[in-house]
Amino acid sequence: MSADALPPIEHLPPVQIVQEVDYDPERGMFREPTSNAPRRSSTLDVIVIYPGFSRTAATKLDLLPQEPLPIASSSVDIPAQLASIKRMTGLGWEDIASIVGCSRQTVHNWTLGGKASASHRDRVSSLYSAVVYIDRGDVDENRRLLTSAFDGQTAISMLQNAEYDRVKQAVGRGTPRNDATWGVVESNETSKHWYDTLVESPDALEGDFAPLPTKARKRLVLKKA
Amino acid sequence: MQPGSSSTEPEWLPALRLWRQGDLTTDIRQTVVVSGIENGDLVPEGEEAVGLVVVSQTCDVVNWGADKEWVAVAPLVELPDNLLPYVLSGSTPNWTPVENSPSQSVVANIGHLMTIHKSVLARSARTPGFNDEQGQARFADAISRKYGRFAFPDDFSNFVLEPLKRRIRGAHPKDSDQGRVYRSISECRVVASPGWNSDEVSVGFRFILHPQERLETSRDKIASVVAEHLNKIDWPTGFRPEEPAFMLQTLAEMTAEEWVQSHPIDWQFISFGR
Repeated sequence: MSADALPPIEHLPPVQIVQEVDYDPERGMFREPTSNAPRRSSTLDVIVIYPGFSRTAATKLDLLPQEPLPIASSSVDIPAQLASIKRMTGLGWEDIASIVGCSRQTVHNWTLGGKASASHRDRVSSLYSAVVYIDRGDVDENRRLLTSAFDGQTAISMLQNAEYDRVKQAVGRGTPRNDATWGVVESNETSKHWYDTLVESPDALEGDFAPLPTKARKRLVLKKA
Repeated sequence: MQPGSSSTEPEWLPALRLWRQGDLTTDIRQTVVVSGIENGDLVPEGEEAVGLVVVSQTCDVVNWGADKEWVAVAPLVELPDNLLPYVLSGSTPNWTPVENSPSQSVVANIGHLMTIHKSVLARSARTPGFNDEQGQARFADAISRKYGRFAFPDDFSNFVLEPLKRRIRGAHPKDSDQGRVYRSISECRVVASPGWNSDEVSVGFRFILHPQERLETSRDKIASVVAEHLNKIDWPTGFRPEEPAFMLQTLAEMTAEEWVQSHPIDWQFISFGR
């Protein structure tokens, strides 16, 4: 069961807290408080993360899949997807982390090759897919769309709720970006714009110069060290 | 060696530490060139100059110690009047103006460098080359352009960049559509695949756009004008445009990898830089 299938927490019946455990979001595993040995949960549990974790973790339900959490070996290039999301949207890492549902540090670790849990991989890929879908080819326009409200809710808010299809429907499909896949290859602002300097430069006079005057030279005596 | 208190520091060191990149002297009116080799020895000749200007970076000038005894200088030369407009517009790689040179027609020939001992510089009468940091920065930029610009293959420069440059300059008023298009582009870069030395080179242009607030026209207008100009290029043998031939990107949209793989086009040096 995915977290999307659950009703909001306030609509859930009271639950019995069987055991408080620490959750390691980067490793996608839980740690028993009496032991530092991590273990994977193989049962369907609803975990309420207590204070001591990030506010995000404390207010969201983290629902475990029935099967053990897989090691996040990935056929999906998370750093590349994140870079593309960042490049296409202009969103900072803080915003992206908020959308994906983790801390900024976690996202940063992913860009350094750190492993992401399956659920986080899904969220990044889904976010990437949604961004590519709505991409207008213009980072400022993309950002404007993401921060615009649709039926009283911003697209970013929808993404934070993992409502990717709703975002696509609301924002609409953009023009496919013509990304070049060219073969592998073996700012400073001046006071005047290069174009203005170019158009104001005199026309080239190749071959039209008078020869430069020859400078006088005289033989010197080489003093050896 | 630390400045200040050492008794082994030469007595001219305080005078040396006044010198900056771009400063000049007219005390020395000669540069040394090597015109040949005789019996295994260099044949040195002294060539007339109006003076010398310091090319080494200031930090390299003022530091003293082992292997820090020498400074690079360039001759000040007098140019004929018909060359001066090109020098002043920054179109000549070898010559660059020095604000406080003896006259406007006396410029630095940064294509000819000489090394002198720092004691020689320290004992020469110093004239500040520039009156402000902007002037000094322009001089430093001229040096880096001269020695750091990428040397595109001649055929590419002659048959692709030169015609493109002419079209960009064109006969258009500053407030024309074309002017707005190209003023919206902060830099033009090219990528060669698989590499410039290949027999068949695919070339792609990357036009780096200013941020949104500095764009003078729309992206599709920019793309339209650029495409029109690139489509008129008669590509020489061995070169062809990539597919797509160009991309429009802001710096925020460009990856570092894309930046590193590309080379900037110095439009002003296209004619003179060969």
